[in-house]
Amino acid sequence: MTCSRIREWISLEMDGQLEPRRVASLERHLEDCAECRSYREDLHLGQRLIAATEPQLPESFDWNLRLGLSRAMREAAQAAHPWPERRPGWQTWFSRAGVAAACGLAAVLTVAVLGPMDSLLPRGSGPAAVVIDDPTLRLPRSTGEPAVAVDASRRPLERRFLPVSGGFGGSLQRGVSNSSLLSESSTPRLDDAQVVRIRQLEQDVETLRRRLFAKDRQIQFLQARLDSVSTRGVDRH
Amino acid sequence: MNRSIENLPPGAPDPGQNPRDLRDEDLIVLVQNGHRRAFDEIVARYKGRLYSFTLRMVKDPHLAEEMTQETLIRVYMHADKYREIAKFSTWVFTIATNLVRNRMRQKSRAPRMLSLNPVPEEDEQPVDPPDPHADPSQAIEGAELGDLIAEATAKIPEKYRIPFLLREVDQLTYEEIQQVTGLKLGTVRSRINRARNRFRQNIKPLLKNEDLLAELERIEAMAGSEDEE
Ligand SMILES: [Zn+2]
Repeated sequence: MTCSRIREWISLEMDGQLEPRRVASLERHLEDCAECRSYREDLHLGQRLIAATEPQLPESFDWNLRLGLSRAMREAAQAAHPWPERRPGWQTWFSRAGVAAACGLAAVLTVAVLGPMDSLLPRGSGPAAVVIDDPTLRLPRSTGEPAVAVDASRRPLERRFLPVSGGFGGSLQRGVSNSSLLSESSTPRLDDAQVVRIRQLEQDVETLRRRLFAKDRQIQFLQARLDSVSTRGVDRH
Repeated sequence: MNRSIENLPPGAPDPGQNPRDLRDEDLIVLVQNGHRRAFDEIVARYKGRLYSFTLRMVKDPHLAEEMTQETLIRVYMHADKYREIAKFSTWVFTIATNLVRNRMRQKSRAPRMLSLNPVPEEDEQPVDPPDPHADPSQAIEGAELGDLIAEATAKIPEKYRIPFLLREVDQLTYEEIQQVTGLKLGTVRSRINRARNRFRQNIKPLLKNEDLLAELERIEAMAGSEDEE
């Protein structure tokens, strides 16, 4: 038996992976071979050194993680329901998916200007699910088991990301998605006065949108703090 | 205040139970259903292990902290993608390992980054040659034991170091390491063996130093007395 093979066995033995029938041969070799004996001692010492020098995370880690989580949730929510960018032309508003309060407001205002909106909206168009295909998230290849189909669309992520208690979480999910509105034959004809009015409303919506976004951030932040405080309070013995 | 979002599926763990009494796999089901405290417990269980692993891979404490955070954020954000066909720990370390690998790849692509530690390519190579850059007479005096060990670990070639750390630091089984890395079982075995061999060469100068060994015993005694409290 070569020393090199014996050293493989020593490594396996440390992890409880050496076949029992080989243990006796290993011990026999070690009795006669001072080199391999010292090799094994060094490996054990190495394990102790690693265990004894385990690095410590800074105290601030949990807090930073919460901030990081809030940011990630906000980004995910925004990816699911992008705030519309300000663009010339009133139609931008209606061709965009999702911003609940804005759309709700727009709907109300539009009803005032154009009449009932129901007839203009296609039925059953909900917000799109977030589909994130990230290679780092694939499940490990498992031994002999079939590959896992990761079904990101099964549960739209935004259900969990948005503030749930009170607020506008619920209404955000009912945002309208309607990209084909203007191409429909039922496209309303607007006179100049109506267009001017819509531009004004658009500006109002923009202002409200900014406020809403600022409040959303504030809520996320306060929620994170609340979670932190209540968790600590409960966990302390 | 219970902020639970929806009804739990049948057979799901009881969210009223102390999270500390639950298995990782039960905690993640609670996280999937919006229970933030279950996630806090996962963080408590994993942050130290993840940090030890990433720091020993990337060496930079700030970067390691960031990557630990990133791993845990991904666990939370993508909790829905976890299915109990793999152990939860395996999933977490797969995410961490992939982040580490991506980072190393980026780094190695950067210009002017020359490896000081050429990687022997074949697993079949019988014995690792001694590291030509190891200098047994290097100044050990005054250095922190932790830094010396970090240095000795960092000098293990990356492809051996990943399975080695998953084993030594994170206590994963060979089968779990196989799943995390996608390597064959035999390769996991041989890489851990090679890493140990290399690590031993790297710490050899330390093992003769009485002061450092005394320091090791002091740390172990302290850790032992903490455990008794
Ligand atoms: Zn021998």
